[in-house]
Amino acid sequence: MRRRGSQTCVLLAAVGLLAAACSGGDAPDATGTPSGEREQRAAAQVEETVEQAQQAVEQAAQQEQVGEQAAQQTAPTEQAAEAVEAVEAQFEDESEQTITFDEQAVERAVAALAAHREGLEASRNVLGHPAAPVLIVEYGDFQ
Amino acid sequence: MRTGLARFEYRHFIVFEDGASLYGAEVTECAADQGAFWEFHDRFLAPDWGMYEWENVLAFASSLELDLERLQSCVANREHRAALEAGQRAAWELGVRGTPSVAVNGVLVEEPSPANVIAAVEAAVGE
Repeated sequence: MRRRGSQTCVLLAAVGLLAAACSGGDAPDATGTPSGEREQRAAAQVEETVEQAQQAVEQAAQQEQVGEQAAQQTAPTEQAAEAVEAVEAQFEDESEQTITFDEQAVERAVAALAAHREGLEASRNVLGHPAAPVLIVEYGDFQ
Repeated sequence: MRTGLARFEYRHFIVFEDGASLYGAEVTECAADQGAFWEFHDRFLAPDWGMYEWENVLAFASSLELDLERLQSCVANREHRAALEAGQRAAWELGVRGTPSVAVNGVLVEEPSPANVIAAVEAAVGE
């Protein structure tokens, strides 16, 4: 946006110079210079002013071109940002899927496991009487 | 059938330290501190429960009316890590190399099918 603003300023300045050049010829001359010379000077001034205005317009055009190139360069960045957003949205969806689970299936599995322990004394990770002579150890993991 | 002759103990054997084994073992031991070892054991073994989601663990602990702060602190501070490592070393020395493995009175059962485990228990009872 700042680039656009400066372009606008340069264009306005160029228009202002052109306007000043066009109106400068009508300014009254208080120096008493012969009219032929005055006309030549005025013509030269107008020519100089027009050249300045043309340069300003060219600069403005160059700046605009630079701005367009910059905009083109930022386009991939925007695309990348959109891609990241899409991936994040997908990740969020997948996260939601992992949080939700088949509660009934889980309850069935848990009930089946718990049924094996029914009626047994339980203390921490041990089932059965702590003084029972035979110790059965299962080594397991939750992988 | 005679009762009171045998007791059963579940011990953790960590297969992958950076995976669910260690995480599940630590959470289960912390739940055991509050008397909920078997409830968490069953839940962790249930398929597709979503054990990696801490929200699920907390929700389940909450349903059991456990002290959630205490559970969270226990897991975060890895309070059972040392005991689990010691158990792992002991299991390794016994010859455990994978899960599930079963030992009866300190002797590993080869190919621990239900039939082989029952046979090993009956032999131990008869001794």
